[in-house]
Amino acid sequence: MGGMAVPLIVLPRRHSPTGPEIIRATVRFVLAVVFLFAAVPKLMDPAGFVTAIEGFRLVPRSVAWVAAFWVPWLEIVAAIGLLLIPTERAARLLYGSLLVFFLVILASAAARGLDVDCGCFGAGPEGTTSSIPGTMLRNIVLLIALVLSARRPPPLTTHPGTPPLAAAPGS
Amino acid sequence: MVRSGSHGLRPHSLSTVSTLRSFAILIGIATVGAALTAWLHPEPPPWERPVPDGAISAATLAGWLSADPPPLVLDARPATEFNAGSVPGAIHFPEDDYETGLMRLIEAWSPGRRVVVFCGAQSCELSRHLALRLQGDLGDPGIVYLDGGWEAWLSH
Repeated sequence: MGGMAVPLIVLPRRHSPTGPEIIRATVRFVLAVVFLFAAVPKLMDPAGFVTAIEGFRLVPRSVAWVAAFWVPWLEIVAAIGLLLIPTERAARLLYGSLLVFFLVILASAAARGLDVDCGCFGAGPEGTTSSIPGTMLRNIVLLIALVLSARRPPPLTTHPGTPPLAAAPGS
Repeated sequence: MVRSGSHGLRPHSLSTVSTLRSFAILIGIATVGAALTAWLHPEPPPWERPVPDGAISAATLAGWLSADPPPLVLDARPATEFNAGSVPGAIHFPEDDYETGLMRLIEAWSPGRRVVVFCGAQSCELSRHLALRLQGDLGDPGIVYLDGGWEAWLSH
């Protein structure tokens, strides 16, 4: 090794939350609340959500029932996971996947000229319809907020005077 | 955190694996929750809920069909579905051609005869809208729609 300095210890830089980090955490909190508010009415009234799903005329009733039981729970775990550090990345992936999935379904309904209740926040009163472009726009805003609010991992630093990790022997 | 720099997965791979593992765990928790919901809250199908105003249940329609004269039943589903099977004696009322449907109805209708409109399923709003429109055009407030539509009729 001939006296070559090898970085043995990599420490996370200790720092107080900065303004942008606080904003990102707040946005994640808001995103979690949105999904929780969306999930609870659907969880309490699966039959109403089945009706909303059927309005999209994409899946048979049996699949609609599975979705009616499953989607609210996916939203709940995505929302709670977003607030916990160990699951934040996975929850972001799940949250984003759900939003993209919803967007595709809404786009398909719009393309077929359907006038439906999206059921996003539970079934509305009889005859309720949603503005599909408005709902799609809301989902796009949520998606953008999700991407921008990603928690940045604390940068790893080595002791001063050591070469970067990439230059370490054997790496 | 101690790092030898000579072995092990790179941090990026580690974090991807860890994210995917967490993702699978989240999906698993949601699936368990969904199974619990299905088990604890067996909801009745929508057509077993109270029948809304202006609608009748499939059982009521079945009763009406055995009366004399039977009600005029208007099938507002697409022609292909109507041709594949419908309520006995139903008249096809094309969704996109109200005038034709109205003419077919007027040919068979007489004041006081019951009229029931139906479409595909509970989620189909067409039959309700059609019943309201026909109430105005025929001046008969008794025109109703079938709650739950064709699916409810099949299941009753």
